Amino acid sequence: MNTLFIKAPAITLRFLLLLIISSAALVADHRYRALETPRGWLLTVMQPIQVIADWPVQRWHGLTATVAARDHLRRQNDQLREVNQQLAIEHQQFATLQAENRRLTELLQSVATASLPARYRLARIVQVSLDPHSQKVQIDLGRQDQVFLGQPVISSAGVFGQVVHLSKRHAQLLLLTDSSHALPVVTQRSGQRAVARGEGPSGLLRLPFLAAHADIRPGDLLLTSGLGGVFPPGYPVARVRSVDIIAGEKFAEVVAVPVAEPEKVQEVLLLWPDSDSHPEQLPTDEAVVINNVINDPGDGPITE
Amino acid sequence: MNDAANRRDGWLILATIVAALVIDSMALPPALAYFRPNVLAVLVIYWSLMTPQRTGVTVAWIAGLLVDAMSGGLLGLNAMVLSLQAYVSLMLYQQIRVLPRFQQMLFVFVLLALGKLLAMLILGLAGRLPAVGFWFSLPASALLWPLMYGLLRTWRKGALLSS
Repeated sequence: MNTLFIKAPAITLRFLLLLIISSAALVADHRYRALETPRGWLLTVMQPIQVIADWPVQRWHGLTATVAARDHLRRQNDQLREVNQQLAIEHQQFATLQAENRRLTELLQSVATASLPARYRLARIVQVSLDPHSQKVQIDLGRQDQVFLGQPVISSAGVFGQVVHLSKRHAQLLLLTDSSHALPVVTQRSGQRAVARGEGPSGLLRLPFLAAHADIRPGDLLLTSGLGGVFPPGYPVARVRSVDIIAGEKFAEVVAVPVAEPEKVQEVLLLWPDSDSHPEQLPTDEAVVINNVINDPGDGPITE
Repeated sequence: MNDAANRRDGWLILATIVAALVIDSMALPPALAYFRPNVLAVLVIYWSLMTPQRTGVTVAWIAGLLVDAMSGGLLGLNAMVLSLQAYVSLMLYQQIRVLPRFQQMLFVFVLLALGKLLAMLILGLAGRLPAVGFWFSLPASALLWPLMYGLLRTWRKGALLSS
């Protein structure tokens, strides 16, 4: 056995140096988000390892798809055809409705105008285990596919999250339920504006700063308002589960359930929003609320 | 002979670290994910105790940084924790190596808990205090110790004999 004497003081010195570098990195990453470029390099270096880790899961999905019984596939096919037909019929009305909607919203001079993004692209969720302290997933598109930081991502049900880390071939998404995520929303029924903040592991959203007399009730559908400038307006976000008004409290306790179910989703859509769909002027009071959330120092980075 | 053994150990260290990174980044159902052992941390402790003149805090730090980037967590968190665990192992390797296997396992458990404590402190400062499930990986990680010890010792002995 090799029992060479190791130089303890030298090791201690090196350890202290690394401790300082780590601390600096932590502060730079958490406080200033200044390390996205080196993080992208490291992530690119680690790509092969993630591909290997993802492989058995994908094989398993592939296997279950191959052995699916024939009449199961036929049934699924019939269902899809039916849904497709329905969508085609609804789509016939879409162009007319869109034009009509644009005319009406111009009359109302409303800020939140829904419009189709310039481009969509489907991305597959890579099955790797990510930071367990935040709600994140990884997808198989990256910088080489023109993915950009802060890019909005939806699932077929509604808003999913946004891109926070980026390498050449992969991107990591922060889900809207992460506790550092806040998203400006508007209720479909009453037009009440609010900010939906993630609750973390519970998978719920909370709507802070809503006055007790705000026009919001359980069952209301929340849509993106487009005020944050990240998500285009009009995408479904969540459904209000409960509104509790506590005596003596200035704000109501509002909890909402996201419509996209992150655990069940295997594919997501990346949006490249139309550059001219961003609202030009924000109504002052909402802008103040959003700024308050962004500048809140104690709660980590707010990404919207 | 010492030189050859050293070189072989070097390759084995690299190979096992890559393997640990793959195992640690495999997706598990959320219910199991809380209890999964931290293979890389146990491995870093093993190599720091067994080959203290070859494995240093720097190797541990780089491996930790890669984990941070890969998992999308705070950059520097795992790097700091793993280099601390390597450092403590390097300082105490002479005492720990002569201990019976069970007490070694206890040492590994304490060292892993120390790492968790440091991680919790940093996450707390960053305003992301983890849930209680954060601690559930400790027993599985500690139980991994005798397994990893046996496996790697067999490999290294086998490699020595065949040369």
